[in-house]
Amino acid sequence: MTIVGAGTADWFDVEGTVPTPKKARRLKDGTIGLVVGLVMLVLLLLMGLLVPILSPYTIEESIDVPFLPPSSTFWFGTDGLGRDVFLRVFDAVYLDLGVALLGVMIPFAIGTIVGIGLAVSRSKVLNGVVGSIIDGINAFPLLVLAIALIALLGPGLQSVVIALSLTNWARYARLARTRAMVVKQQGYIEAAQTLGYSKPRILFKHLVPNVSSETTAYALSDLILVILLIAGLSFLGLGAQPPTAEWGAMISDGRPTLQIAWWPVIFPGLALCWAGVSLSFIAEGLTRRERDVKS
Amino acid sequence: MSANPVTGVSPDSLVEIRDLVIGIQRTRKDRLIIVDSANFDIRRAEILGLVGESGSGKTMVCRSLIGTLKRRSASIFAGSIMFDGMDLASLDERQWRPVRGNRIGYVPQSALTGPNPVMTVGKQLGEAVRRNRKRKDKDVRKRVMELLDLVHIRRPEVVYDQYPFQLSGGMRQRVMIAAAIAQDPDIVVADEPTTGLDVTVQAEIMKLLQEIRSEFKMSVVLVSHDLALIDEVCDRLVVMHAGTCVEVGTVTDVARTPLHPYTIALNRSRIDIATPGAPLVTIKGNPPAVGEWPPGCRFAERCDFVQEDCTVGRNPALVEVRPAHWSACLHTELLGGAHE
Repeated sequence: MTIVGAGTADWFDVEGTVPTPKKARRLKDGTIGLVVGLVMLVLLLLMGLLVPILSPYTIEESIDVPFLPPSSTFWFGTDGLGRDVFLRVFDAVYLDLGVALLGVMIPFAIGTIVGIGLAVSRSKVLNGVVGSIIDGINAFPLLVLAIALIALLGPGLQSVVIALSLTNWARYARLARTRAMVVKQQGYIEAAQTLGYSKPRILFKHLVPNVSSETTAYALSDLILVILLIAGLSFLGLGAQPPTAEWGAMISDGRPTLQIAWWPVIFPGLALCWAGVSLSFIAEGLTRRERDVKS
Repeated sequence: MSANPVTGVSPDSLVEIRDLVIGIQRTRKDRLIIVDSANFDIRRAEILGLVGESGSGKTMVCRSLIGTLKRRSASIFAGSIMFDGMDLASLDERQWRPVRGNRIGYVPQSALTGPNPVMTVGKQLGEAVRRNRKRKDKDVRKRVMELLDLVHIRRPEVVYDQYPFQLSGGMRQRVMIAAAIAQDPDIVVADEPTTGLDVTVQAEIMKLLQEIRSEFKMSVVLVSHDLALIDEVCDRLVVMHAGTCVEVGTVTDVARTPLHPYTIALNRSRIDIATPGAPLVTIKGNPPAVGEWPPGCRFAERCDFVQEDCTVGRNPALVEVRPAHWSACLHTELLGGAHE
């Protein structure tokens, strides 16, 4: 193996240490994927910020010409009500990503706390009861439970976030619990204990960071799934309500007239894909780096 | 339980472990005894080796010294561990805190998972240094550098900001040793500190433990099942078998003139690479399982010298057969010819 840019003296100087990655390893260690993903995401976020500001129209404003095909004036054409698809697609960026972020953060927080709490507690009753609830929730596909809960709560993005919070936490709890049980047995926890550190200190400085590094990785890949889930629920009419600009709802709107005009459906779909792909590049890149670090 | 083997307190003993019984309370009435009658002293500034097969209870004894039996859901049922006027066997969690780290340091078994992977070396050692004493950040850094230097880590200023994954196994274990001695304890307990490290690194770690002993006058309790390793560095040895201490004495005494058939058998089963083709001697049978200890001597079934009275009555107690050399064998007189 040739070592790019590293003199041998430098390489061996610090006994037994691993040098920082050089260019040759970038692809393997996921740096390229990470950069591509970040660039894609930043582009999307920038467009989401700039387009609504710079556009002469509002998302509800009709120019009275429905199904205008993409042109130099209306880059993505107009929809059945004569609204600018370009504007609506990018207006939805912060809504879609924001709701998804909420739908991940809340379950992430609840699940991590519950999971670590269970692993740390010695109570068999608590572990049995909460453990069964977690397994019970995890036994159902997320979408089925979410739809059932939204049926109770009534459609709307608020209901979607509540439904996600009530169900998705169980996945994080299971992950955090098993991870915390493993970490608890590690040498550094025992070492911390035998150095006489206080319990809160061991919990928050040693246990939690090691558990949350794992759940954070899962949260990132979960974010992609949740974005698709929210769009899916909106497509079914359970999430965002018209005239809100939201990708899933827009696809649903354009579906009946798909044979006349493809643009009101395809562009929101592409935006959805773009968001998903950029995030999975980032998640994959980070996982690879993590893997390098762990070995 | 067996009688107290040591009469009269030796002036240089730091810790006295007497008739220690450790086990797991499975149900209210069902107790599983893992160690009964552990009896030995830890002297000031000595390296004490604790040897025995897997399951002989050495790790349990070790954990009782640092008060982490509860992690393994075990507890002390009887006996005492006297240390500086305190009985460690009866301390509760709150009473343990000032002892841990400050008086007794611990080096964990697995070097690879020893340091916390999400904290830099400097931060971790800083945490250990800062404990109990309020220090300025600059002083903490200085002390951490000093510690890294003490455990012979080259370029400590680089390692200070590195994460454990950037270090080799040997260096990680050095960091753990640095953490264990950070608060200047009287005793360092090292539970198989060289597991998973290669032989040259093992030797370096052992050398380091010896230095710590001689420079800081700390006592080191070294747990191992590797006799060759222990021979070289220890001053005294405690041999454990099936939950009891079967032989206690200086390394020279125990290695050259063992007074217990189990020690003799252990010595014989060492691999001798100097004589190619020499047969590998093993100890016949298996150590009796925890909870299924036979009456009398627990080694009787595997012993070459077994007599009728070996398999009846109680587990034989440690007896001072020669000065400062204890054995729990009823028939030490038969062993004379076994010495090489």
